[in-house]
Amino acid sequence: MHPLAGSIAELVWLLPILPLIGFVINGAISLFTSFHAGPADPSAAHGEHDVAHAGHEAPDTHDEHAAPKRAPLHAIVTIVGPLVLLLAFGLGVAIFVAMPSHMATPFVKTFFAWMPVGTDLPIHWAFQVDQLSVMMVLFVTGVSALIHIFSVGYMGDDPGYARYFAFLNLFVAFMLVLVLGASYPVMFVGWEGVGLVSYLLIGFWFNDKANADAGTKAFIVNRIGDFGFLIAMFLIWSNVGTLDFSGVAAGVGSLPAGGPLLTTICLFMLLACTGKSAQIPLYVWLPDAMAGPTPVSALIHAATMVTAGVYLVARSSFLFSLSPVACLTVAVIGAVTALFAATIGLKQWDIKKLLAYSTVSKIGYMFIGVGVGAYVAGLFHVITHSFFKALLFLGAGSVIFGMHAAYHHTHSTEDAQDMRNMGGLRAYMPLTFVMMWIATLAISGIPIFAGFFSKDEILGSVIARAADSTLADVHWLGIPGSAVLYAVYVLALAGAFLTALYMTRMMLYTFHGPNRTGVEEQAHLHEAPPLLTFPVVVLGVLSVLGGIINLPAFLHLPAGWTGALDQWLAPVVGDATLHVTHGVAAETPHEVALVGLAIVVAIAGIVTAFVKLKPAALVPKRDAQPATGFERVLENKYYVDELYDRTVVTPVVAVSRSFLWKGIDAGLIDGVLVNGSAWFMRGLARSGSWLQTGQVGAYAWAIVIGVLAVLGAFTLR
Amino acid sequence: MVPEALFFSAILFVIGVVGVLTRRNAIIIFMCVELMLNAVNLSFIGFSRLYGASGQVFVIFVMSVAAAEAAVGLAIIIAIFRHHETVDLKNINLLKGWCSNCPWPNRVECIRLPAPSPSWCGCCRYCR
Amino acid sequence: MPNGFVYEFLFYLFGLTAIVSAAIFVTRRNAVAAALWLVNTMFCLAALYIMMDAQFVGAIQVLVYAGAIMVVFLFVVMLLNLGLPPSVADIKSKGARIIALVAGLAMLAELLVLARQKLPAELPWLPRETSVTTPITEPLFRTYLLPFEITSVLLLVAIVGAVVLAKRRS
Repeated sequence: MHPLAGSIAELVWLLPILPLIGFVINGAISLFTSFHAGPADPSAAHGEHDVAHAGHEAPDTHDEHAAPKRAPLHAIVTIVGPLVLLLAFGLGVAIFVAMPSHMATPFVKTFFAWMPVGTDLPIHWAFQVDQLSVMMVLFVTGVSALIHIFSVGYMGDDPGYARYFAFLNLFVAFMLVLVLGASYPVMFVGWEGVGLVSYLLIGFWFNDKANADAGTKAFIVNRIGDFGFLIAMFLIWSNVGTLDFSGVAAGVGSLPAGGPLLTTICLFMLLACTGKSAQIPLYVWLPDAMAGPTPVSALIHAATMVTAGVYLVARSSFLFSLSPVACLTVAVIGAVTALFAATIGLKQWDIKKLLAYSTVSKIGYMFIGVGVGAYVAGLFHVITHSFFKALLFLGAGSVIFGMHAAYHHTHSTEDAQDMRNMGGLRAYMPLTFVMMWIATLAISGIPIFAGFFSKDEILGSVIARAADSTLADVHWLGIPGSAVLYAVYVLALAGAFLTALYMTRMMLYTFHGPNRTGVEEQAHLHEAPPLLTFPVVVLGVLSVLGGIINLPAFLHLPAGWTGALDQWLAPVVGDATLHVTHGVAAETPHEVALVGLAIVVAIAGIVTAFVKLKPAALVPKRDAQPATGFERVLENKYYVDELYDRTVVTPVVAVSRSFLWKGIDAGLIDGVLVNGSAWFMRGLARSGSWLQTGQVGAYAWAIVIGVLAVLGAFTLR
Repeated sequence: MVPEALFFSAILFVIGVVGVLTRRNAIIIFMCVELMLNAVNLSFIGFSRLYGASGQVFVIFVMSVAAAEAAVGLAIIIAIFRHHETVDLKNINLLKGWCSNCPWPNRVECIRLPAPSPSWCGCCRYCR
Repeated sequence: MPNGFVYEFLFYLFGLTAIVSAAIFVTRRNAVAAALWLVNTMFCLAALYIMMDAQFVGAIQVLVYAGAIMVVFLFVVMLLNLGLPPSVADIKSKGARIIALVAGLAMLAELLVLARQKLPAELPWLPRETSVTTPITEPLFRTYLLPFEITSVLLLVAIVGAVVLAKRRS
């Protein structure tokens, strides 16, 4: 009898159902009211994208400044949207409270046989309640609830208000399926579902083709990753014979540890993770995903969905820990991505694009963590990152909200998201300013703040694994594992320096120095309304205190204060971690010195930014000179999009157009098979109708010939 | 005498077949068919000498069916003659879907013409 | 008597007469003449039936075929006034006739080849004192009772059909 049987955990099915109910209600409202009173270009209502301002060229001052007419049933959407999330969060907390402090086995609740394939593959619709999934449920529903509240203020005047909340609810429903699923197929439903909703929300303002294209790009790039997920599932099933997490964990021991099969499975799974979590080589969709509304970027493309890859690796820790080569690959990809994205972030002017590259970089850190077998550290960073990155995005949303309002008043067509048009906002948005600095210090890794603890745990784990672990014993592409791990550490440290640098740069250009918005507009700049600042403040508090859930041991705090998350997650990932570390609890050598080095690097980044960058010298976007040299390469993101376009997209499109479309589809299928068979049958029918003369004599002849043939056959028999 | 009877039967049947193939008069062709039936009857009678009286029973069935056929077939011939003023099968090809003097050949649906028109053919539901 | 010379002579005589009459029948242009030659063939066939111990069928042959069916044919021929030779370009061209003849000969050859099998011995002749209908009535009203009844329905349908078809439309 499982300790959770009969407890409130039996209601786990309600967790995804609650947001799904919200989706149905809001979706029905959206469908049946079909409110289109807004401007023809829906993004003009908020000006998320610079293109959106084109509609303002000919100012129609009729009722510009009057509050826009709100969508019908606005109040119902406002209540239902966040309420279902709060209820789900409450249920999650109740399940968390009901869980015993140490629960050795997960509580698996099977609801029905979903896809019973013979007797070999009985796939059940089952949810798994264990320490990992409950942790994910808590932070997914918690952060989602805050962002829903933010959205009420941010999207209130949008014509697609109900549609927006329907999608947002649907996203949370799928995300909960993803984290609760007790087997790979159930998880895959959530995996695909969040991808779908991500597509829908990136292209939320689909009247603008650039937004719709960004959604399509995200969807297609994610498909590549999903292919990896499917192949990994097929391989697991054909070799282990089950797809349940517990069954695979029990059966995987029969496979040769470190063998090519396990490595192949893990690498295909890694492909899925790089797609969903925006790592090299499939990261390109995430910066474009900023075309969606800012709260969406905060929720899906920073806090929750993009961490699904980290979750998948942690969930499959029993697989990854058996394949050191795959683990090293994960860590290397994470480290390279962390540094690569950080360098691009250095020269971004769009505040949301900058945060997007920052997200890619930070998920790289999480990959380093789960890659070196420090699953707790990786998941710890997932949580703290969700706090401060959601805070950064919501703060940026407040800034954009204020900027746009100002530009809206003066009918300006300037870009409300470009940092060159900001500056000196400290005076106008003091609360946002303070909160953004908290998030910046947290992401840079300044002590006390949440990001410091999680980032240093990852970096310390890298050094610990380099000193002694199964990873250090193997060779990765001919390089000794320990050398690879030291290189990963250096890359990560360089990334930390750049993180501090570009985040401080963002703060300097946005909030410090003189204001570059425009003389007229300054009168209209003001702090965001309380509905927007409330979630920001809550996240700010969490960004400060978030580290408390897993304080490091070297602080010598009283028992119970340190390593809470370590102990909490030990039943899920503890075995895998021990397997990587040769069965002993890892001791990081020179831990205090390493932490000191990381702090120095972070502070150095901040100081460098203050010394080198001159906000006062910056000119607004319209007066800016084009960048030159390496700066230009960075501004253009290393031309990776162009590279992919040349090497992948163009050939694929060309082959599709000339061969698959014109040749196979139009030529073979339409021409030969479809029309050809019709022509053939018509010809056959014509020759048949020629036989059908209506002359009885001809029919008589046909009969006689037939009789002759039959009798002849009998004769010759 | 049975082999001789079968021999006569085969010859009579072939004569009937050749008649069907060479004549165009519907009534003559009909009579040729009757001749073929009679040839078969002769075979039946011959076989009844070998296998018992069932063959004679079959002859009686064939005769009654032939009588029915003659009644209906001749009625059809009369109907055709009333319509076409001929029993020459060359001119009768309604089985094709439209009659030979239809003004709209090669069409499944011919176009309705005024009823007293000389080209009125009555070959399909539109013309009727 | 059945195996005597006279019997065989008469058998061949009627058989050959039937064939010759049939051959003349298919070559007559005049429909009335053709019908009368066909009647001759049927009379000969009736004689053959009687000579093969099927006296009842022979009588029926005369009554039904020669007497009823052929009379209907003649009646129709005369009703439609088709008796005059030139009224219908009846017989097909020479080429068609030759091809038809070749086909007929081919069929005949095939039939003869197929008929060249060993036949079982003939059954004994019926005793003189037996009624000629007895051997037929036994299977007709026992084994083939259902087909017999269906035939009666068929005849009824044919009567109705003939009436409907031949009735002049108002």
